[in-house]
Amino acid sequence: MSSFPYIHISCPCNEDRPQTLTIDSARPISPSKSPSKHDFSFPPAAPQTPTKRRTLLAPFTPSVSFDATNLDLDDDEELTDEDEENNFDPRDPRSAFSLFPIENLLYCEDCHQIRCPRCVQDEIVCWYCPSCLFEVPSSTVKSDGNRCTRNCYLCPVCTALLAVIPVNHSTLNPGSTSDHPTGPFNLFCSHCHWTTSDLSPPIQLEKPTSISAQLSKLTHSPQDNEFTRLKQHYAQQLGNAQEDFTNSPAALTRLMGLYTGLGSSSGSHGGGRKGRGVKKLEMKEVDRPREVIEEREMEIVERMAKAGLNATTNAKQRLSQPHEPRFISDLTPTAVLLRTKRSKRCRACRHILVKPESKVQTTRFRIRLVALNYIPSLTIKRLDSTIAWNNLTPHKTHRFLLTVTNPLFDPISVSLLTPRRTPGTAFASRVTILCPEFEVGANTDVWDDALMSTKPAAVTPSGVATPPVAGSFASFSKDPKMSTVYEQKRNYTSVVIEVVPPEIPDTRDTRIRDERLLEIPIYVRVEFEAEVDRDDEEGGGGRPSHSGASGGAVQREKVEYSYWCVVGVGRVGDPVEGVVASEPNTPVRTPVGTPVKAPRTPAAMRTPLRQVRS
Amino acid sequence: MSQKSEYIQTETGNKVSRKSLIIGSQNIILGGKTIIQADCCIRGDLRRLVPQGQNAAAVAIAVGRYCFLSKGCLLRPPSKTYRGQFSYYPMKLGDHVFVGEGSVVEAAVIGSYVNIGKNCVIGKFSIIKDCVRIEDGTVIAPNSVIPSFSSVEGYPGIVVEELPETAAEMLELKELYKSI
Amino acid sequence: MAPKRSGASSASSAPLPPLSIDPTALLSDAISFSGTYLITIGANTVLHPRCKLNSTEGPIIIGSNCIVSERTQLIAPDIDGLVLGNYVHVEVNCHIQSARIGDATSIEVGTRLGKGSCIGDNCTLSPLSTILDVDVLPAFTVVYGENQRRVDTSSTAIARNETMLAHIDCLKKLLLNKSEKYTR
Repeated sequence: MSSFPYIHISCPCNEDRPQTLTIDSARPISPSKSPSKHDFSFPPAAPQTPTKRRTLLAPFTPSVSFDATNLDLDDDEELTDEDEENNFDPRDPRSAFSLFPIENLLYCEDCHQIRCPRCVQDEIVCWYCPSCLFEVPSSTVKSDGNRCTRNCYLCPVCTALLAVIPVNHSTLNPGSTSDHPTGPFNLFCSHCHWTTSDLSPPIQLEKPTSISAQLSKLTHSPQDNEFTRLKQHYAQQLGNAQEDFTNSPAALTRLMGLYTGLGSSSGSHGGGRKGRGVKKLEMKEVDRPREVIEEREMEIVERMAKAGLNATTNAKQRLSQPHEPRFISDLTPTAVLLRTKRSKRCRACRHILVKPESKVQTTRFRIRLVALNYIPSLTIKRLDSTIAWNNLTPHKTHRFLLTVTNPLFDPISVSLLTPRRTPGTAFASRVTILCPEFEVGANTDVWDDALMSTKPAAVTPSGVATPPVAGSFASFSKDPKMSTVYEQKRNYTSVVIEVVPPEIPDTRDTRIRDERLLEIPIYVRVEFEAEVDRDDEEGGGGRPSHSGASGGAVQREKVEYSYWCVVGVGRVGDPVEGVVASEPNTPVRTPVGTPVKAPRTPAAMRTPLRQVRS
Repeated sequence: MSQKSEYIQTETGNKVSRKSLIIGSQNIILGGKTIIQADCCIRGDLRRLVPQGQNAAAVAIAVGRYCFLSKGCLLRPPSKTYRGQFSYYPMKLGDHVFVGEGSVVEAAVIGSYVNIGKNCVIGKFSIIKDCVRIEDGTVIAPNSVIPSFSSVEGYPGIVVEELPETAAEMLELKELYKSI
Repeated sequence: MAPKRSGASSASSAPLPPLSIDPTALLSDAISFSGTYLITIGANTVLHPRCKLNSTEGPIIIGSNCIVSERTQLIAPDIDGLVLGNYVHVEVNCHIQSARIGDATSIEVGTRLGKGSCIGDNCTLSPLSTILDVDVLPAFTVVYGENQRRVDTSSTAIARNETMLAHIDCLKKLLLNKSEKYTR
């Protein structure tokens, strides 16, 4: 398990499919400065919307439902029993499949959806050997298999890379012909000192290059030989067609068809394949398929008794070899497995999300739509450095700092909603986000950053944020404890989250269910006014919203999206004497900004990651 | 994080702990904004031996920008016999290379955005490409090549996981530099 | 040449144990000797800067043509002392309390050898391996991976000794010899 703390984001593929959505009603959150044109056909947010209601109320109360005794009337209709069902349960077995760190998630600009490794499709761009870093053409991969055909071999004993050394080393006198050492050569493991001379019979190579060719002659097992014999036989049979059947898919289909044809031909000869236009192949079977003699157990036992247990392979060594040898002296060097560079497509819309450059040694991408650039990322830190992540004290109020970082070029307003008690467990922890609604400044570029650092007072994020909620923020910050953000910098804002874990007995049952693992589901809702860029506004810098908000000349629209994430805070420890159960919170900050549970997310809102309120 | 006086800052923004041990500093190049913590040791004196005279500009260790050498780690150029001549060979580190506490690095080349965990041993002449994470306690065998976007673990280290496309962002060390 | 910082003084301030250093040995700067028993360093042996030799419990004898790298500690386990054979290569960050280490043994980075352990000739201890107290390794043992062992049949011993000599020659050109500083 990953170390604490961690934050995983739930990919929407967790929710009910189909997830194809009304793409028309949404426009991408484009962090790039040049969004495509089809994004702009929407009217700006109309006044009579729930969004507007929300922004009006925001200065006074967060629109989140409060403690049950302290109901906010406005949210009454949202606070029904079925809310429970909408809470994301990190303990649900299905959740595990959709939770990923944000770094592993992609973002489809066309579906406006987070895409996890489960909902993308990989396509191989190129094959290469991870050791010599040479590209291997796919035709070679088809004919010679997915291992390096050059000189890269791994030690069968310890998996380190083998080096070629001359068997006769003592040619070290500097003046001599040691520039070109003479053979024979060994493959030598510089980690465990295994050499190909340890094999029985020992293998020595004549040349220090083209090792694969030399080794393949020397290390063939009976099974390999039989396979090559059969392959040659059938390749010969197919020779009339002038094709190597392993190379062309059509030929392979024909070969497969040959056998299905044989199956059906018992009734009517070759009748099943007439319409295919494939010429019927007359295939002569191998006259005498030789059975490769299996190792005899008694022989093995005898050999073991003689050589001792130390001469036998361990499971790892055995499984990495094609014929699972039982004795170390039978282990042959393993050629390095090839690796691939892959592009990734969205499974829903087939658009490419990731496309690496095809050159093996570059790490650049032609296309790279990663969620990190589209959705705000959360991080969590301890406020009190004495908190031990792996040993949280029951009944004690632990305070953490939750930081939301905005990757977008527009300021966003964020609502963090969390069930008051962690769901899915009999031992629920109490969770309070002290300030669940706040602003996060725009991700301005480095230039603005540099300017800001010179005059920090003048340009604070709240100053440049969209007008209505920025005002509300100012009113919040009067009370340092209640509903106030802890820290606000250029494009991130930190709020305090309080967690009171319960006392969890250490029983077999709780261990099996891992009840002491403390994971907090948080529903993140993001709203921002995105500018509807026009062509003539291209490159309006990181902050086009300035003029737009006041002038009204530029079209703007409200964009909203949301997702669940799970914060792995740590593990609850044994109870500590003196720390006893108390009232939920210190009286001062009791109810304010404490969501009882996440608001009901209507299906329409849940399925698409984001939608435009219009 | 720590008091300013612990570090000596160079013109290019390198911060070198007074408690670190830099031997043969004339053979060491620091790219700038690199942090060297206490008890680090850099063996710049183990430079390449040039057969005849001309000892011009022998760089033993070149370190890029935004590297972070944690407490007690050691950079040591690798050595081998080549064409009958035993010599040390230069070591090159890219940008944003993190070396964890107590790790010993004898690699030939380390790319950019590489994170080496605690107590690792990076064997002689190994080559680590860009965007690689090496987990704590890994031993990289001599002469190994670690391709990009790999996470390496074990004894000797093997690639256990492919890193996502965001590896460069995950492994960049600008923030870490600011925190010192 | 090298900037000398704190810690370099440790060798000079405390009284040195009796030393018997072969004139062809190379001792770098800032080697820490401590203890009261005799420390013998054989011919053509190289000690890197910042290695530590502790003879509080017994004598230390280092044979000829050895290399002891920086930040390695050699600690005599008892009155019988610690004996390193010839051609022994001890890499960095090792912690050695063995009774005996055989000829041409290579001890790689970060190895811990337990108190009174006995390492045979021509052994190889791969990085970060640990040998328990009083353990005995027969000659030609390779310790690799997660403390797995095998017998070295690679017959590279001669070549390794030649490499050691070349390595020592190379180090003698690179490192400053400060052995007279310790024998004074």
